Amino acid sequence: MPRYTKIILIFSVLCFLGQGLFALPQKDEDNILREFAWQEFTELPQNKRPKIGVTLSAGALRGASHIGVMEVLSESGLPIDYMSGTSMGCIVGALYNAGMPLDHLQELVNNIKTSYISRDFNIGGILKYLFTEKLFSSEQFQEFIDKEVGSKNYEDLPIPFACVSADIKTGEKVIFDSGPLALGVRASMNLPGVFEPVEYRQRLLVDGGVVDYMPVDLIKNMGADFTITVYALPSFANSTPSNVLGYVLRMGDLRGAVLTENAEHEADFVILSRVAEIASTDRSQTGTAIEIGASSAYQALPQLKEKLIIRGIHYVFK
Amino acid sequence: MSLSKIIIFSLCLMLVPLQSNAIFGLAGRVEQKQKIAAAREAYAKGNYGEAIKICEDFLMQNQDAPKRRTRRIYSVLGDTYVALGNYDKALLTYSEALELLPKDIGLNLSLADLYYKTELYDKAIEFYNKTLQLEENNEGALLGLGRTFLKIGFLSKSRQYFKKYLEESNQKDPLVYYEYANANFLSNNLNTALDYALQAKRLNNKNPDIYFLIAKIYNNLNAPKKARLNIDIALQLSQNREDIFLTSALWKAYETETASEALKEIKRYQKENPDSQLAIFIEFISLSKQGKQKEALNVLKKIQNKNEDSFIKTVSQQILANN
Repeated sequence: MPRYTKIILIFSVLCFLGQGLFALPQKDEDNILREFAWQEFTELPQNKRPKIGVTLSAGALRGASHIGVMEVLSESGLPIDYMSGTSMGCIVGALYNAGMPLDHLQELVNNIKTSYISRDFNIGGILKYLFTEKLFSSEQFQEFIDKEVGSKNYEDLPIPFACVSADIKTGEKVIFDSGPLALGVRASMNLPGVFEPVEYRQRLLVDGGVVDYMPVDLIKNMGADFTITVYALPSFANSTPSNVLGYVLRMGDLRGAVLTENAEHEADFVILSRVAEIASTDRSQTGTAIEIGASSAYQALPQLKEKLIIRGIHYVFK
Repeated sequence: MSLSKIIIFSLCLMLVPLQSNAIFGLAGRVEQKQKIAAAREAYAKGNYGEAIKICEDFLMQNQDAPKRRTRRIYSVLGDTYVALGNYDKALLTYSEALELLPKDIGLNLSLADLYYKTELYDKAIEFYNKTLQLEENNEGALLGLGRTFLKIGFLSKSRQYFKKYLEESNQKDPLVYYEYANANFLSNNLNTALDYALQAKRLNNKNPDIYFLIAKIYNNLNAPKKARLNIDIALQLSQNREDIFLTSALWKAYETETASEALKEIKRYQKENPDSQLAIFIEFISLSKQGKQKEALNVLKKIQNKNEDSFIKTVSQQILANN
């Protein structure tokens, strides 16, 4: 082989290797553009980007995962224009929106006591429940919320917020978006068959999960152009309820699974918190649920950012 | 023979087996210690095969050895498998050792580190927490939890553990300052992030990643001059870092005053990296910023011809569709 041919050959091989060695993988290039564009997106005024709504599903103690999700979303700089929630989603949404720091909210949920919810969770109350069939009162929970955030109204919240309850008499969906915050939160998580219905304006209100497990349409009606729904995924295969409360919550979850099928399709983006293995009533697992929520949201974040950047592209790359 | 002599003689006879046990026991202990030392030495020298053989022989032949010695040999064996990248075996070794010594701090920590390395983060958290239950403020566990929570994106927890580690540890490791700064940067706590990134820089002023992080923090704090200054230093320290170069070019392209400079730099880069979609996109941005809209859109069309699907390609399609 002539000498110059060898040199050319070696040079070509080196060039080929050089390209392979130093070229940045496509996903890393995407990361650079995404993070740059995201910074631009978060600085856009509200009228130059889609109005973003976040809805938090029901899910009993599995719904503690919403705390982790909200932490990731808020720290990412995501602008949130509307919020809605049902049951546990309503509790987390209301407390977050009322300005409770997320670490305090984590602590609160991790150390939740039955006495925060009802004064009847004692021997006397249980005997009354068994022999007179009188349900527990959830009034204590309303007082608890009021104490934690001050007596706030929906109108006082920085992000417009609404939550869902159900009228057990008529089966209608009842939306709370004005008036005392704590009352709506109590009504939204007022588990039927366990707590006595909340009497409000001729209605008897129970947990909103009965009629709207994941109120996506609600934030759309409030004005959101882009809806993010956060779903605390239940599992039916890997756990069997072990007590009355567990069965009541399971019925709610089963109904919720049917209701969320539509809601998931309606949303522009779904964050699934993979908390399926956690029982709805397991208080020892709330910390894990929060971790799973954070981790699920963090994994979903790049895709969420990309979707939003595309929606606001005209202003991002102006 | 008097009675007393008979008694003394009998006592001596009775002590013989005890003495022999003691002598042989001592010899056994010495041998076990020698084997542990030999295994450690083989591991330290990188003779992993030899280390494994010594450890496995030890475990076969000394099943009644005291727990502390067995622990040492398990530890060397586990570490050797980790060094070889044989994580399955390492996992089995540490788990087996923990069955014997469930309250051993070092073994719990090694297992947690291994789970972290193999990206089984929930298990890593479980064993780091066990370590902390056994020894409050164990530095390895605090650091491990900081890193694990950073990986899974639970940033408040990550910050909490990094902070605790920095408070507890006497070592001023610039890497940990950098990681804590990064956790704060990702959480949008920009002032804290800057504070710790600058401390990391004081501890190591030759690390391009630290300057790159400082640049990104300044950029998000809307301090472009300081951002530019730091990204330039990062580039000087590591000229082959394409991520730093492309970020710098993107920033320059986006500013009207520096757009033409970015164009020249990116053209040079494209000669060596013709497939870079981001480079084409930066070319598009810099041309747009210079008012050459038509030329810019023509450049953007080049991305559509690339085979690889990407976010950059989707963005380009959208921009072309809007124009």
